[in-house]
Amino acid sequence: MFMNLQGPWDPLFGRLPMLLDLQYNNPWIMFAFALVVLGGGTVVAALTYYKLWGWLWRDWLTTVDHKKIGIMYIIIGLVMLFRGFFEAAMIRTHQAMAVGPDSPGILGAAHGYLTPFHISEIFTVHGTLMILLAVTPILVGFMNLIVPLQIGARDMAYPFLNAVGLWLTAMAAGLCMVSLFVGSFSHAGWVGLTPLTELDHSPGVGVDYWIWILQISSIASTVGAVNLIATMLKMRAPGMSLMRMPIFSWTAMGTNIIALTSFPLLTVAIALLTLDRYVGTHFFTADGGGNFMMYTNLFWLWGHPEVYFVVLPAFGFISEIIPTFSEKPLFNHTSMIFATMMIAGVSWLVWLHHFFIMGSGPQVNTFFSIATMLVGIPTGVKVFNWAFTMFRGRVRLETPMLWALGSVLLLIGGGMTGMMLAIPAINYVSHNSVFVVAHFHNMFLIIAFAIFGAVTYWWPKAFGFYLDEKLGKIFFWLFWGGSVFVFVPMYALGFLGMTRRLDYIAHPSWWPLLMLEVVGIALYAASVAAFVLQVYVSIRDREKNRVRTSDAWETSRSLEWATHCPPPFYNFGATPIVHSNDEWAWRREHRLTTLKPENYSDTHMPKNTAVPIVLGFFVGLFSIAAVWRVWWVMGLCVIGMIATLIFRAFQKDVDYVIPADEMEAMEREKLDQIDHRAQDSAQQTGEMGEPEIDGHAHG
Amino acid sequence: MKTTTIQRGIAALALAMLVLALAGCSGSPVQDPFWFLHPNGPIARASIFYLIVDVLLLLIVIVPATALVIWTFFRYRKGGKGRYDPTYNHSVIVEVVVWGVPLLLVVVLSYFSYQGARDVAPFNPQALKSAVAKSGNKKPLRIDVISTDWQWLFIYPDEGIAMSNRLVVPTGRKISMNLTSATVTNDFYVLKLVNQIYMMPGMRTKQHFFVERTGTYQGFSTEFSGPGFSWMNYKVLAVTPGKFEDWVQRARQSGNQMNWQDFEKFAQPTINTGDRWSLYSQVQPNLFSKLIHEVKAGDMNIVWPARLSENMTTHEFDRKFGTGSANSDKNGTTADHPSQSNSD
Amino acid sequence: MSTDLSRVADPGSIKLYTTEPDHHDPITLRSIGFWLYMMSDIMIFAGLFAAHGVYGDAYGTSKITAAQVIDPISALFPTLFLFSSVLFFGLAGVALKNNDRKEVLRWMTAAFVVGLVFVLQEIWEFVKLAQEGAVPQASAFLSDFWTIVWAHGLHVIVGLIWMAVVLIQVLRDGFTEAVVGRFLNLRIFWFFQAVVWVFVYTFVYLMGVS
Ligand code: HEA
Ligand code: HEA
Ligand code: CUA
Ligand SMILES: [Cu+2]
Repeated sequence: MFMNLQGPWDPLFGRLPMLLDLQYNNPWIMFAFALVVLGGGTVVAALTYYKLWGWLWRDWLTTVDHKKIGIMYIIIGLVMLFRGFFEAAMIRTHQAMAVGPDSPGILGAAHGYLTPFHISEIFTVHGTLMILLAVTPILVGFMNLIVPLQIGARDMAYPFLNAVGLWLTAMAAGLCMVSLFVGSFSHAGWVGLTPLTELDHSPGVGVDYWIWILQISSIASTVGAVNLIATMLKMRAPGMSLMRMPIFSWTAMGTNIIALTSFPLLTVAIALLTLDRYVGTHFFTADGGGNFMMYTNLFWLWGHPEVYFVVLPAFGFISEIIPTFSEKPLFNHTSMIFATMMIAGVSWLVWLHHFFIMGSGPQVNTFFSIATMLVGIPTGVKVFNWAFTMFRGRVRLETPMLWALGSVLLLIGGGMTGMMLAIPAINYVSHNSVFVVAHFHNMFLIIAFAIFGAVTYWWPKAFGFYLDEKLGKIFFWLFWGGSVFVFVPMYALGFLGMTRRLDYIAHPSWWPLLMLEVVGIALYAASVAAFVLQVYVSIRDREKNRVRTSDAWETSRSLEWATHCPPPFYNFGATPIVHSNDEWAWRREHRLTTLKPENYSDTHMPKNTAVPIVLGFFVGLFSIAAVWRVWWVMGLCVIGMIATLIFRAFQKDVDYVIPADEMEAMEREKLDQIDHRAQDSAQQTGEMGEPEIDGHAHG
Repeated sequence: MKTTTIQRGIAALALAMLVLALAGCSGSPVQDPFWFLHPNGPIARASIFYLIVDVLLLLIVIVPATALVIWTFFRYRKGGKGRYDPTYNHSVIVEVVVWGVPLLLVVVLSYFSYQGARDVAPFNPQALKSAVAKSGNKKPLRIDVISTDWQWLFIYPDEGIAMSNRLVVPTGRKISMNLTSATVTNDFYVLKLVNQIYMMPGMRTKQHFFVERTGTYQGFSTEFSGPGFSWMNYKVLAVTPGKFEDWVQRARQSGNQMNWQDFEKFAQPTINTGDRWSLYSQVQPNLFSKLIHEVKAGDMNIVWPARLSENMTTHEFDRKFGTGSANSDKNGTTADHPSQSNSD
Repeated sequence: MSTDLSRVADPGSIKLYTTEPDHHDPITLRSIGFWLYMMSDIMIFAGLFAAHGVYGDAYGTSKITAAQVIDPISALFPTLFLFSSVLFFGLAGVALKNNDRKEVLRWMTAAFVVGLVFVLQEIWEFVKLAQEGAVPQASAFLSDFWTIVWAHGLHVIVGLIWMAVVLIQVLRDGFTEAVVGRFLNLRIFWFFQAVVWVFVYTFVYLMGVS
């Protein structure tokens, strides 16, 4: 409309005619297209064949149940994680091929098999989607799934808003999939380097896809944060003071405070960039008085807190898993809460460490260096407290514990390299090298490890049967091997001076290390197979692996284990009253593991609604229209969004009541399925089991 | 069964480390030993010094922390030797130690962080002082560095000459650079020689360094700047002052000019110059500041074609921009090489 | 550390589950969430004001300066409109306490109309600016000026749509829990727009010309 765009533009179809102009000769795009069509087609065909569309719509797509929403978040995240891995594998194999001037090139590339622009698209989409569409949805999914259960709530504060958040995230993921073969993706890194993202240097639609994906998922995260914080503030079970809130919920609190305060800054940064690209303003241009370092500041003001946003819930997983499998309460519970909040707080003061080398003076750089290093203190406290949780414990090395321990060790390594980068004098020689890439993957792998630990840990809670233990261990060791082989050589390459985001490797001497990394990729690929097999086998043998008690691991500590596996849609037959930091452990210790309350009462529950998915549809369509600058569709979508929200405002019939007797009937049926002997003997393995100790969990 | 898997894992790790060590440090198995741990000059050395000091300091806490995690796990696994005591879940002493010791460490690190930041501050590095004094306080050599899409131009304003895609510097003399970029941000770095510094369009940054011994180095950009980024490699030749003078004299004889119109042509997108460089005997005196001015005024319009950034194949590049193949023409286009010296 | 009950003498006496139906006060719950949302909105404006610190005099090559486009005196009119709208809405809130539906409707209509005048006046103002060539494309300062003012303006427009919805609901349904909840949140929102305007006026208008 305002901007002078390269290429054709049509009032009806916007920039879409550009597609005809560009050559589609890239076999990768065809391959990706075939893969997605095949995968999506199979799902659609299966749903149609088994006549499951109605079920899908009623039970899942229109649900406001936080557990189902959580599970859908996690599924989206895992699928995107898989796609992200695919891209990582492409980067790694391409770089191993494109070494030295004499290296061969195929598929239109001078070296390797990816053209320069294509590989930049790939690392950009990899970074963007891994952080925002893989890891974030998985973590948000777990917070959805677990936090209300842990705090003894029937539901979220705003179930409707929760569904809106989910569908926004789903649309962002959808947009990311569309960008795979309709047009292109941004090439300017996940951070959107300005002025590279300006229209002069990125004239196509790639950056626009990136913009709208970030914008939508940022709004989704803000919405989710409002919901989770309000839930934790207002919906806790009676007796649960804030300090008694389980540690995972506390990390969720820290994370969402970060989200609530930092994502709006991303919204601003991206909105201003959008104006630059769509309207021709001069915020981040080099001319017209613009200042692109302002973008860098705004971006990292969000970007740094964002990395703690993703790591805190992972710390939460670890803090849940280690006590359970050490059969001991979390060491220094209060200190852990304090450390969590301190990490969240200090995360605000460190953003400049991402551009030490822009030329600020030593005073400024030192300030941010010290602030950055301060984060190491509470993080260290966490590491030590985890170790002391195991100290004098009885550590069982089941799969979740394996992942958690791996995570802790990764944290020490990644933290060490982070502390190195935080020293300006070192940063000046290591910035933008693959040493940095190895540092942050080391950190992200903490999250990946913790996530897989959490998946194994809460799977029996969510679905009522265990994941196969043996395949789980194989999965762990393969994944661990992959991580070692990819990222240890990467640290070394950093010292050798290899820069990040390379399409072509000018130094043949790096080739052996690059090949080692490919070995890592192969191990990763095997690990994915192991995971898929594990899920398949576990589902196949689900009857054999059924959970017979509420407490699947028999030594768990928090309230999510005080209801059935899987939890009914109303979570608890009656709201539990909390007496201790680790309520479930306390009950176990006092032989109070019954799930049967004295009586039941009427319960309010929200009704399913199609409004969130409709809203999501309009947002998704809006973004695609915006990417291709089809103004009239954008206009219609805005009207559609407003109309949908107004419609919702006029909806009165949004909840219903489960009468007490109906609740009792449902509960009785579920209680009958519990193996009562096992449920009661669960306490035997707890703290009480040890005869010489006359104590309780909280001496 | 459990321990064997762990043992196997550890063995694999050890093996990986070994391979790494061999690939990375065994003298120079390859043409170009590319460690950043071989500094030439006070700045690069200061960085490596702080690297080593800080790592050693960090290890004071990192090693015990790692040991603690691994030891508690082995000691207190179920059926192991450790005594089980679930009431041990709080300890003031532990609390004081785990908050206090890291805090102390951070205080110490902060001191080194500040010293380091001053020593290698790009605009005014303290680490250079003594070297400059020792070398007799010669007048610093000024170099204006410009990055374009995707080439380099090094201007020697006092000598009135310039060279593209190759940098020649004398030993034993402070070198002070002004840096800017024509279009997007790049990041100037010469491994082992010059620390990184952003080069930003419409802005000027500075960097200083001092070369002690002769040698050939690799310069490159570290901030991603578009499709040609991977090929922004150039050689940096550190030569003796005498040879440097010779080189300047020879450069003056080159017939090439670099005034604004030439520069505008030069700045057009070009991928992979394949180690081709040019000397310019005449350079418009205010080229550097004019560039900054033009960029700010929006007159430096280098718009990348959509095809380039959207669906590019390298072959297409060959056709459109006349570059592409790395082994096309390895020799300079005009004046000859400054005599090469041994690399370190 | 925690105030756990220590070993209980008679576990049977412990109450494990609530026996009454849970009662969450929906209006408080709603307004907590809304305050949290406002928090994120504050961050949006904080980001914009931080940007203004950089762009406040970034004219680039443009000849148009802040003094030429900003007139704090004439900007007093929109200020007046917005503040009276907030005042009227506050009076509607008083009427709500007295449970006086007619009065509520009357004041809300007044607030709506005056709010609309604010928006229209702002549109008119900026159309004039554009005709003089002070478009957002002209310089970073103007980009920033337009963006800040219209970020606020957009909030006001959303507030007006919302007000229309609540108006109709009060008319149709009276003071149900949902309607009152919406009304109270809108009051927070509307009041907040006045506060933001104070900041816009001070930082952009007053400090822009001084
Ligand atoms: C959370 C974030 C995250 C995660 C998890 C990862 C994971 C990985 N990343 Fe990524 N990466 C980034 C974030 C992340 N990355 C970012 C931000 C960048 C920078 C981008 C930029 O430069 O702008 C980057 C860049 C980046 C590069 C480019 C480096 C360069 O610039 O030169 C490379 C190259 O090797 C790489 C590799 C990998 C690998 C091998 C993994 C592996 O760890 C992947 C392991 C994953 C698996 C093995 C999949 C497991 C999945 C399942 C088991 C589920 C299966 C489910 C179904 C089948 C439904 N990453
Ligand atoms: C989950 C993600 C995550 C996490 C948790 C961290 C944690 C840390 N990061 Fe990292 N970082 C990233 C993700 C993450 N980072 C990403 C994505 C980038 C690059 C993005 C890009 O450019 O694309 C990056 C880049 C990055 C840089 C900039 C590098 C550069 O571009 O030049 C720096 C520099 O300071 C840094 C530092 C740190 C530090 C000090 C921590 C600390 O929080 C670590 C704290 C932990 C410990 C220190 C270990 C445990 C502690 C003890 C055992 C106690 C004793 C220790 C001491 C007190 C010393 N990180
Ligand atoms: Cu230019 Cu920072
Ligand atoms: Cu950071």
